[in-house]
Amino acid sequence: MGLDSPIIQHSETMPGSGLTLVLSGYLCRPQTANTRPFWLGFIELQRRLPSKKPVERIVAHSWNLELADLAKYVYAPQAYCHQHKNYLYAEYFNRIEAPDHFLGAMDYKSALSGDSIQNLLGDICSRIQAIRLLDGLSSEPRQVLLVRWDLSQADESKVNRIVADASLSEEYIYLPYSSNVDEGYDDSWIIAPMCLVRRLRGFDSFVLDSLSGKNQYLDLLTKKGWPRARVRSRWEILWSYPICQKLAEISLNISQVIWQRSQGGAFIHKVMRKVISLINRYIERPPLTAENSCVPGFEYKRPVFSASRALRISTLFKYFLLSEGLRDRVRFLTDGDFEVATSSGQLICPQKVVLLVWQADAIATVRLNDESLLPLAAVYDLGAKQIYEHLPDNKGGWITNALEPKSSVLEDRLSCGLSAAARAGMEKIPILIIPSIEEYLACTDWYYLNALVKYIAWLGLGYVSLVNQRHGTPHSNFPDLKIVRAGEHTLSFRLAAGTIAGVQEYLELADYDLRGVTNRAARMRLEFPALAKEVNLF
Amino acid sequence: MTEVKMHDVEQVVSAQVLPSGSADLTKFTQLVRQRSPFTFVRFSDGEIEILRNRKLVISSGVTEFRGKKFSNQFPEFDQKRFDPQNSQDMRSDLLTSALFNGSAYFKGIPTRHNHAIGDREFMLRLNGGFSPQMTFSDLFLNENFIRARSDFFPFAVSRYNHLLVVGNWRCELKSYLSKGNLVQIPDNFFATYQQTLENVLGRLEEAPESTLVLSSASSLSNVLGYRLRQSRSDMTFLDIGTVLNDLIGLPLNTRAYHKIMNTLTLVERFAAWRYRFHNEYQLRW
Repeated sequence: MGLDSPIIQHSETMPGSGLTLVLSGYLCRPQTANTRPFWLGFIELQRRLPSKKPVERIVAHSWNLELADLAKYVYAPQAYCHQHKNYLYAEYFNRIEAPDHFLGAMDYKSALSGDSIQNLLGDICSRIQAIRLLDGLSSEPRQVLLVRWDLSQADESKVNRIVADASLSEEYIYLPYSSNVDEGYDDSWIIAPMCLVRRLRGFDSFVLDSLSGKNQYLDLLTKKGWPRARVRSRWEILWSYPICQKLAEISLNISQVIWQRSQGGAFIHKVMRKVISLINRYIERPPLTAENSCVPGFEYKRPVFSASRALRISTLFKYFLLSEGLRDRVRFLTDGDFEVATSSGQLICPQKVVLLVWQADAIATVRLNDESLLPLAAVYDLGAKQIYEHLPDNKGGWITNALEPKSSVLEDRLSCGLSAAARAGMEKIPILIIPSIEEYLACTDWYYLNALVKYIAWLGLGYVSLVNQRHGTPHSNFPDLKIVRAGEHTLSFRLAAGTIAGVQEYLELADYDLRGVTNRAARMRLEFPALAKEVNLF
Repeated sequence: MTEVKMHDVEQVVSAQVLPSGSADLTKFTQLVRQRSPFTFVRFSDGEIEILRNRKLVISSGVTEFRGKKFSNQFPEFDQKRFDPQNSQDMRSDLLTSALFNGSAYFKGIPTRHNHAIGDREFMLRLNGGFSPQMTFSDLFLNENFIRARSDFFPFAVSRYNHLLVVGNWRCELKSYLSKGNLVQIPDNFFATYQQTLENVLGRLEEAPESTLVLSSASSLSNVLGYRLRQSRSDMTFLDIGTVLNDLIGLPLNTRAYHKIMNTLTLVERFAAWRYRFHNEYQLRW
């Protein structure tokens, strides 16, 4: 691996007993400059982590040296290595003597589908490097979750959804399951005990041997027949196309409506329900695979694939696990296997925020200590005659100070709170302006909020309206944000996020109160980011 | 060059055969004849609900199952309550027993005749894929009910010198089971799971070598079967469900297949005859 001034760091003190997160790949893919997939991955990962198994340590490798600080800020990994993308992997290519029949893998079609050997080696090398970083931890992890940064970028299908249930035994390797499992094992996420993760360190050498014909990989895949796989019928292949899956989904929705309208005891209703249940049962039937199902006779007719399929990590990964004798430790899971929505979700490195609340009372303020999932640097109660500054006393309580605003107009009250926060040295901490503590605690998506305030802090983004907007241009770097023009109901100081300096800048536009600010902004047709989620955040 | 160890790659060539209720019961009979110790645990619809982490309540007159409520006529000893918020220790053990596979560890799972292909594939995924040790959760029921009761169980009990029966505290061993000893479990063991598990497991682990264990203890049977396979692989463990209810002093009229037995009146005989044509009667994979 050619090191181009990599940043390598180990800073870890905690003993390993929970889940250790191993991140690898690209924070931002080479063909794109936006960080939206990175943030999507961060949000989705938080949602999917089991709440009862804390992530105790994080190690990370990436091909984005330029974004090393972002990764460090968002994930705070204990060990990390960021390098510039290595385009040639000379030390690897020198070892590959491609056999003749492998040349087919490097054809025009595979180039179009993105399965280039550089992409393949890039993903694999990054993961192996990340795994090697585990050696530097002070104690050995028990269970490891391996994921890519852009968890949800390549494909937002259910395969990518991590199934991490804290009640599952830690002995096994858990992998996502799909109808394509016979061809290869999806590696978009892997949960495994450390003793088995260690075995994956030889995967890069194995890939080189496989691609250069030094083992049976190419022969089995393209000529002799692929192990643990069955030949799918044309109907099954057709059924697996996304358009057919979409049609099936639509049919299920329609049948649900018909079902609801056929609830009577009349004969026709009974017939309708019977027909619909038969159709639904057919549509929802699980895929039959040689890997999982009982398929008599599949052993005698193994499928072969075109050489272009040889460049897929999934096929290489399957062959690696089979060759290493690890298949009996593999368990496949799907998104629908367990109902763990209520026990899923864990904030990664919760971002400290300053809370400015328009209406608060003593009881609600006490609740903040126990119920706020984000750590609070300070709370400013802007609702009373005086403004109250609550600073954590580090014993689970608050130290309260009374502040005198210039006047009782809303702009002065907000300005007073912001100035006090700035004086307390919180300029770099993102702020949240919320109508009440109750509304803050009723946040519908803490994982998104954590990502948003990290994005604000990272970029120093001055102002984000948290009032949901339907119109506007989608934000290219962060999910569920739009760039909107200021209008009567868009620029809000009741529900907003940003930085102290950013909000103060807006306030300086004011003629005499906050309404003046919004009017001025609307007249100037100012643009700013605003929330655009399906469900209100507060 | 990496030395490729083709452990599994070629091993899978052993041909798969679709499981059949009759053949699997014969296989069990052969194992008993050879006194080769093995374990059979059943994952029926209740266990699937727990594995999937869905609330399950069977209380007096009401069943909560897959988010819906039904009326029931289950007796008091059949009552149980799994709450995902409070019973994760039990669920975790049940998952471990579902994830484990071994050559003498047979798992019965819901199949096509239960209209449960989705659950069948789910259980196969937890097992790491199909293996010859996967069989029907209804292996002793429906079409096999009479054969299991009249041939298999009397033969199995006669082959072993020591017999333990795990069942509700109300149980009373009768007929050919009276040679055994009862290991009692309380009603709704979910409420006292750890204590019950320790007590029962302690008693079973003290049993003489090659003891036969017949367990009618709901989901606890799955956990016990797995634990005993780990600690006492010399023992044979069979999860009997409700198949021998009358022989352990419990009513034999709580399940549909019970109607095949004790047909005294013409109406009962007709009901038994009709049941044989029910689409759930034949065990189908």
